[in-house]
Amino acid sequence: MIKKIDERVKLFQGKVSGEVLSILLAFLVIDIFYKSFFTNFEFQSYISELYMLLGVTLYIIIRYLIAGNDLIQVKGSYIFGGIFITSILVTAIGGISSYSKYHSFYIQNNFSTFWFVLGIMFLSSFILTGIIFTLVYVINNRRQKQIDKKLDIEEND
Amino acid sequence: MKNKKMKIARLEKDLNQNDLASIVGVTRQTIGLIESGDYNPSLNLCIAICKALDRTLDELFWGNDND
Repeated sequence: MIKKIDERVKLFQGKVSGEVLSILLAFLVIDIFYKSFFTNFEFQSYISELYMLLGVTLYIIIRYLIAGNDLIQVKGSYIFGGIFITSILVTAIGGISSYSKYHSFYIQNNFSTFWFVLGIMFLSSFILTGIIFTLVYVINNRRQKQIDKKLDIEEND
Repeated sequence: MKNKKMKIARLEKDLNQNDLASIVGVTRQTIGLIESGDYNPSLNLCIAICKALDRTLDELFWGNDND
């Protein structure tokens, strides 16, 4: 006879799995951050971690979309704020990293190159983040509309 | 198994799925899934739905005439 799994235990397993995933992801981010900024490791040395992080994020997004759970429950203006803050963060981190590696060069050029690099960094991260956020936002909205339509049909049945 | 009793009770209260969802604090999708029998709600959610629809647990979630 197959033993039925206790629903409380099942719920607890799910909770623990979620916590473990959060901890692992946090370690992954710290690991990438540490390798890229505090040590002078090559990009290739943490590319697998980066792929893992991207893969897991993509998996979460796809699962949410397939299940029909609303990924983005905020208005468009908040999305723009999110893109802006993410770009600022990426620029700040990239700026610190760039300065620690090439500070003597920047000092020689009276920091004009440094500001230029920061500008390019912000612009490119803003465009990239914008494309990703907008893409997820559009797909998510389309999926929600599909579900609403299906629910409307069922409701009026 | 579809939960027609819940759907009828909701319609009698003149509520759509969105209204009921916001009263009990879930998404419309969750209400839709409960009514279509594709999701088993927790006891707390069942109680919240019963309170919102002025019905008892027996009336909405028990019995053989759920088809």
